[in-house]
Amino acid sequence: MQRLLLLIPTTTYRAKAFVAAADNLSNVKLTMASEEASALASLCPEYLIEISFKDRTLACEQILAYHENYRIDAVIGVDDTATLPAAWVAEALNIKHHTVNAVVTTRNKGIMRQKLCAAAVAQPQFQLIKVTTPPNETNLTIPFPCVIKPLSLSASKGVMRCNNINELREAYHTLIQILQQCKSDDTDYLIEAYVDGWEVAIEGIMHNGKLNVLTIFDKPNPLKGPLFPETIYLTPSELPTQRQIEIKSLTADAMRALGLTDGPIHAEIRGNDSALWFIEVAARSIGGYCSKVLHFEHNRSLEDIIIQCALGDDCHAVTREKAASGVMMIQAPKAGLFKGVDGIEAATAISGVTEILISAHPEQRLTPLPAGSLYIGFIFAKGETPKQVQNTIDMAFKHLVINIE
Amino acid sequence: MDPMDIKIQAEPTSGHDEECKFTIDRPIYPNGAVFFGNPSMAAGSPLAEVLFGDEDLNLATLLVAEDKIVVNLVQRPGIDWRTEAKKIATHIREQICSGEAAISPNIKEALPPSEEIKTAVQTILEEEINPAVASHGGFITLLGVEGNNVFIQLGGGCQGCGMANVTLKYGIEKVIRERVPAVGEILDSTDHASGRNPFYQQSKK
Repeated sequence: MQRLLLLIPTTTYRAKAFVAAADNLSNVKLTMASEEASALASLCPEYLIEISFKDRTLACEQILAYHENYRIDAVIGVDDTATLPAAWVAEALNIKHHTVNAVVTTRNKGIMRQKLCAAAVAQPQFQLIKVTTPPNETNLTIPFPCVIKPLSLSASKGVMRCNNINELREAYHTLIQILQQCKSDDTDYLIEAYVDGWEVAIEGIMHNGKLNVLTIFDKPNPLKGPLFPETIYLTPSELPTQRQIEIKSLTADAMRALGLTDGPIHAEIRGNDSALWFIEVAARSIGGYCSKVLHFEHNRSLEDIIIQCALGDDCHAVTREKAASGVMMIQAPKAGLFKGVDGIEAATAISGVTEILISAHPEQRLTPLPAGSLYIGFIFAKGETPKQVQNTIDMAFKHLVINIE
Repeated sequence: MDPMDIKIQAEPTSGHDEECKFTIDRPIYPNGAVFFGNPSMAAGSPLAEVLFGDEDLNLATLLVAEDKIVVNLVQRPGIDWRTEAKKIATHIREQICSGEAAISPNIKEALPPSEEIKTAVQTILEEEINPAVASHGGFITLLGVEGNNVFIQLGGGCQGCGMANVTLKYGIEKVIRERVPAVGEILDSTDHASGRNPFYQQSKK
């Protein structure tokens, strides 16, 4: 019997999916570790534990004490906030995982850019500036249009395109406010050259330093700014085969440069007819409920694959289902109190829609990008082609009426 | 019935050479689940008897639930599931074609009455679980017991909480199963989408 330690933040969307995947494996015991104590931790000390997500020494002490009683064989970190603690404890337990250094790099876009630069991985031209320095008070080396970015936030939060110095100055002040609201300890911010073209997301698993690309998602909605909301993901990619090979190759180069070796990765690349640019990677799988868009042979979910790979399985022969599949992340159109969504029944009735999932709760306060970080919900669809899936999703979205007061 | 009309999918468990799950295209133990931890428990259940009785297989444990069978063989080097799965699938097909119940009805009959299970579960909820989840503004309601299946609902801070599933599967279920082994499925009837004040709000990533 093997024991899997799942580090799972209390704010996750993914508890259910990982619990279901672990339940499929009768010879695996699952221990859930979160940054806050479960209400039932004292009744179930073998399965529900609290571990610091902020203090490495404390986290390792907590996990080593637990490991004395219950031997841990594999470690998975779920969502951004758990990736680094997962690397800490995996290293303390000498369990295969992305290294701490590699995960630290992915959690700071500035360090990531510098490491990619040192390894000559194609990426946008960039400049790191102290958060205390407005862009108009520094020697700006990046041409317009450019993109201003925080180092540590995710989900396009705080990412803004600027076409001139006035827009950049305004975006800087917005970014500083967002960093303060998030209590971020970022010391710098990034300005990058804006890359005109399409964008793809790469879902993969590293195993012994080798990248297995599980799928490439096309993002059909143009991401030209001024904000960069995640909207629709479609798979399989309709890019030419040669382009997909180049995308996989660039991703593998970036993983080598960053030292990511064992565990899931979610990367983003921009491209056009002439070139590809590596945008970023997270040492985790796709976020939110989006993993529901992926199904693999033998009716396996992404979480099944991640768990099996963490337990030592060679996941290099994993194949996605044949059908095209897609998801739309429904963004908050405006700030306010979420009251609900009408039209779900009609939208769900559209052929090809597999699920409409509203994840926001009634009376929840919503904030749109660039400061917000909450989706209202998700539309999932399948079809024969990605184009058909996109049409289905667009049609379903038109039926939805989002009520915000 | 042509035995080959019965579709069976065998899925060896990765990382566990001795284990394989079989999914059958029809129920083999309708509305029931039973775990055979050793051959003596198989007496009276024809499918379990034949699988434990096959000396070539050398079965360690067997789980039969609805349309699924999970077989664990005694650990030995070089288990080849291409061969072993065929033997097991043949036993399963023969059992289904016989028309005989695969699992002894006595197993279900030996279960305590629903009312007894209900009382035991209610006591656990009131004395152990609800006082604990109350610290998160939550509560668990026992909706009822059908056979040995327990229906519960999560309310208050538990409704829509990002960790509700963890609390259910790795807290509530573990405690109930440990205290009341006769319990079958534990089913959550909560509408989590309507939770107005979940204890742990979900964030985007």
